[in-house]
Amino acid sequence: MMYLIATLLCFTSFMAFALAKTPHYKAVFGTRPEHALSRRYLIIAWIILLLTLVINVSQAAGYGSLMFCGQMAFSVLFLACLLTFRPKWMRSLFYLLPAAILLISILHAV
Amino acid sequence: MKDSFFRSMTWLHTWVGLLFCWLLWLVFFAGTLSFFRQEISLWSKPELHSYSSEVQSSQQTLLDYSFERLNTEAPDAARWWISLPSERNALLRVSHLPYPEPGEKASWVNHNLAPDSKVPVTPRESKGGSFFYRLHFDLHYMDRTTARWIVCLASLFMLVALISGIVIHKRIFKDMFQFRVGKGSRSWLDGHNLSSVLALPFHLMITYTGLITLIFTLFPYPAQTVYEGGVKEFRKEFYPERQRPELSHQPLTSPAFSESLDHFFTNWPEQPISRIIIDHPKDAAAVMKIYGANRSEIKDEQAVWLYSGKTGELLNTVHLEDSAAAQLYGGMIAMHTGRLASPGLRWLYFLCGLAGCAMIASGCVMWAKRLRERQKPAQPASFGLKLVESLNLAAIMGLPLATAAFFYANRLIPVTNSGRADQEVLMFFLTWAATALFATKWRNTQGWRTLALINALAWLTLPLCNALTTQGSLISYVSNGQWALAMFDTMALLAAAVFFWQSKQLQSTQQPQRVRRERTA
Repeated sequence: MMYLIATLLCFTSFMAFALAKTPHYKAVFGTRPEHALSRRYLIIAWIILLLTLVINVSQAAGYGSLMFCGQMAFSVLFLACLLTFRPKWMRSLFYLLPAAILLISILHAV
Repeated sequence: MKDSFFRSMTWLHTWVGLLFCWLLWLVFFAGTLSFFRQEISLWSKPELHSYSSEVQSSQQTLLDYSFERLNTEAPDAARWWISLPSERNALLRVSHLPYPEPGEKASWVNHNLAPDSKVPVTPRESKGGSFFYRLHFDLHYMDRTTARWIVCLASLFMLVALISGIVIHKRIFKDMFQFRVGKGSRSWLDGHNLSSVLALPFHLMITYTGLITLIFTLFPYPAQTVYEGGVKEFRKEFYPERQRPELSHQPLTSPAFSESLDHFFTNWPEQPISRIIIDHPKDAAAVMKIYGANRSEIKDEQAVWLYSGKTGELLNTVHLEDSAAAQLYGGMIAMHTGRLASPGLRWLYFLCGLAGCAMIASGCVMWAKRLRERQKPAQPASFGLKLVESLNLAAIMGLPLATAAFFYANRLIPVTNSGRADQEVLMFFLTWAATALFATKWRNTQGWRTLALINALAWLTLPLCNALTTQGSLISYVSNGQWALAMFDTMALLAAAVFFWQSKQLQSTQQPQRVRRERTA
């Protein structure tokens, strides 16, 4: 369950990485991002990515790092496909991802 | 200086990559399938499909039964071997090795039993996933040592290509998510970059740890310096559990095996057992070796408890508390083989392996395409270019087709044929050779398209062939919760879809676009 949360967080992080880049942001929202906004995305992306690593490693040091590598691969592949074929779908992910993470976290806590 | 460094790295990446790319493609492909070695083996033995891996009997009960059985069946064997069922292997296997007749080599007598009912099960003769596992580092039709040297060199070159690749494709991190479809060689470069960057930590890890698995072939000198007998002597000390005791020629009338087992179960109650091997069970020198199952810890060697058969006392424990160096070595091998992985991580491993296959395949194709683009249309292709194009087609499209042929052979060759395991392997290589022949004549887009369609058809009908020749089908697997088998069929269908998409892409433009190597099993 924790690994699932980490996977979703990892995906969120890479989504922020992608949106920090002008061409991808334009493909998703149709407008150019301001420089400050791109920077904010980048900072958020790094924070979440580090958080993902911490969650993974806190589960098990070795196994967690392997999971982390795999999660990054999965996230980048999935995002590249989305950005290539269906960039507009990423808008809905803005709401779906946090909701999913929250729901799973609550389920995990209960 | 900077410019010449960049240029020399480009040269290195291009030529080192080209030299070994087809072999690396084979190694990566076979290795990726090997992550599912047990599942492929299960698929290729339909006789085992009806047994669930949920075992009711305790390990103690199964062991008591096995000892009793071996005692009556083969009291005078040279070795006994009991493999307990695990998550990925549903059967109890009770085997013994008789003492060899003078001048002959003894062979194992195996009994596979359903763990709860103890009904004997005879699966068909097939190498299954182990074929791909061996192919991954022993290749085939050649001496093991030679093969391993070749694979060693290939992995060294892979590491060189990876590192020089990071240098020359400097925009890989900047354009991480970039994949522009339908732009000719631009798309190929994007595909090459994407597949390498998305699993870059995995690629580096798997190549480096791959070299470590063969380190004693590649770099035996420390062991040769320290030990008089060289690597052999070193292995003797590192793996004491692999040594067999000398015969004492004194009969063992009342063996203490059950006392030893009691001792083990009392002192390590949490430790599951994977197998037990007993050397010389009827001799006073008998030794019982209890292998503990590894769980998800990053470690390759199983811990072993060695008990004396005569007195029942604990002689030695191995790999229970390894030294730091041994832990590092074992850890790297464990990371490479991925045996520790739970299904989630195993799928991630598989995904990364596929990315590696895509990286190598797109690299091969790009080399040939670049050269073609630089040529004038009227200019005849050089022999080198023709060779590379043929090899690309033969390797990239041939290997998946040969894999499908292997699975068809598994279902269609009669179960009673003697030597059918080798016939399956023969079918694999015959199909591959046929594709290679095809590729020497038709290396153009049309050739790629034809092979993509044949591949799509082959993978599409594989689940159908399975449903017609066995009791189960995709629907029954899903409804019975046999996920390993269900995923096998799904992956075959997915492979068919990818090949079909590829043939569509090849049709829609004159120039072949991105050909993705999502391969499966």
